[in-house]
Amino acid sequence: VAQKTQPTDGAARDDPHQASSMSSRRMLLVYIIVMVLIAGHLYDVATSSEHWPFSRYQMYSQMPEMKTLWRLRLYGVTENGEIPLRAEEHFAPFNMPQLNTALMRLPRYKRREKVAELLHNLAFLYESSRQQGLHDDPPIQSLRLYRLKWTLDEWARNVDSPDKKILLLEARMSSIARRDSKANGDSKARGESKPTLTSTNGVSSTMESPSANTLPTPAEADRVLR
Amino acid sequence: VSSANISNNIDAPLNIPAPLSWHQRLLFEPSRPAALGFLRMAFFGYMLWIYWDYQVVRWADVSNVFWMVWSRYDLLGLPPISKPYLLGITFVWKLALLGACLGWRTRWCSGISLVLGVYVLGLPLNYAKISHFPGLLLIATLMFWLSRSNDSWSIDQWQRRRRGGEPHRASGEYTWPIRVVQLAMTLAFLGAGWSKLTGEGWLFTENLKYQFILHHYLEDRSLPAIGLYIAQSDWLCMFLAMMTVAVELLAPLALFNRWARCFLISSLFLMQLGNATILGVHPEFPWLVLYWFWIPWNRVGDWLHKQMTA
Repeated sequence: VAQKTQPTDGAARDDPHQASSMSSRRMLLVYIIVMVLIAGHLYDVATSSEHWPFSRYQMYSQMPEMKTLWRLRLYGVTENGEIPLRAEEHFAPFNMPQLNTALMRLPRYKRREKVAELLHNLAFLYESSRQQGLHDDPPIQSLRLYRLKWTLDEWARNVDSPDKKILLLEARMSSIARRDSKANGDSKARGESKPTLTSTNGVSSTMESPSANTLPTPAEADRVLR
Repeated sequence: VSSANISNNIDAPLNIPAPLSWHQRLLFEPSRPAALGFLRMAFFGYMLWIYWDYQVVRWADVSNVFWMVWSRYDLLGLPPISKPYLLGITFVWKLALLGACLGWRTRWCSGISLVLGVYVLGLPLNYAKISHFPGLLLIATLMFWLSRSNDSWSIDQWQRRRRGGEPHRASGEYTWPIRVVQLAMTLAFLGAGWSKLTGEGWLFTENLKYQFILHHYLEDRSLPAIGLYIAQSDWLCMFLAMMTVAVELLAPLALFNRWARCFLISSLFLMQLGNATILGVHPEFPWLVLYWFWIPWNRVGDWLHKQMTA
């Protein structure tokens, strides 16, 4: 069938354009696309850099800490006590890796107001998600940022009981709860105005000189972020 | 020339006295339009399905404090825009995905879904963390925009036939878009394999073992225990780690050899399926649709046709 329907004359045998039914300009376009794809990927791999949509896709290529693990996690204080909060449910549109990374970047913020602003925006997102029905947890009175530390267990039996749980920051929600989340997207509605941040032990100095029991140092955070 | 008489298969070389060199054969070997048309419909349909509930407008509520102004992923300097515009863009984007899926004004719809898709899918990348998977989806969208993917399985083609248009001949036009998406996918895996090979001892350490354990601590939700069972076996972890690097590095071979394709692509599929289910990495598995580009749809269609006529 192929021999009957495909061009089989001498011209076709010598002319790849006719054999593929494509013009030379179209073929050139495809070759350019292929070359850009290959060059973009190889450049990022060779230079260990990232130029979206190209990448060296380095996830999981770095060694994790084998013995212990720490992470930052947000908790909400409700009338009934403290509850752990999840990114996708409580802080939409963030997902867990994005939120973790954002929290890990806290040590980079030199200005304390910026940290407060970040926490208040998260509190606003919590309330906004609640009103949109993404979760049915009660309103929170404050948002707490903890540093959790575990000794790794091979069966992960201690996931819910970290060795250390250190309160780093607490943002009180009294002003946030009163805000109308349906208002609009302006900065006030996003919880960016007049944040009230309650310091916990060591936090004030953390922004300038991190210590082992407070926010992670930028170097520590970088290690985890990799 | 009837389309039924046209030789067709992407995988089965045509019996032509080889005017095409290897790279021309790889990219431009004539094939029927059905596979590309079906993939267009499946691809945009899948995009519409997984992003049906996606509300990019929620990013308008996120403070600028999360914005990575220093990022190299800053989308051509495009800032987040206000809610009404985001709502409008998302609506038009989803409408364009639907149009491209149905093959209605395909060139326009796929073009719009590409341009708006760069913004809609790219905007979240500017907040806190980059995510790799939208990149390949947009590259595939670009291929559909540039190709003649509406020559089959489309309203455009149906209207053309009603006006008395002839069926399209087999052509390299229906092969190269599929091959380019396959190439982009293998390059991504090649990069990942190289990063692991040159990283901090992926092959000969307990890296993978601890990845299986770590994710139970890092995820907010509970994961299936199977990862912990695998982590108890050192040799199994080492075997999986070595296999991972091997199949990722060898992925480009899948472009050239049918048996390599069967083994490597199915291995990579299982690996990503494991990532999604056991490690909880992108549990929605957005790359699933890209694996469909490896299925010889023309051959599947022939087989189904034979079964139905029999």
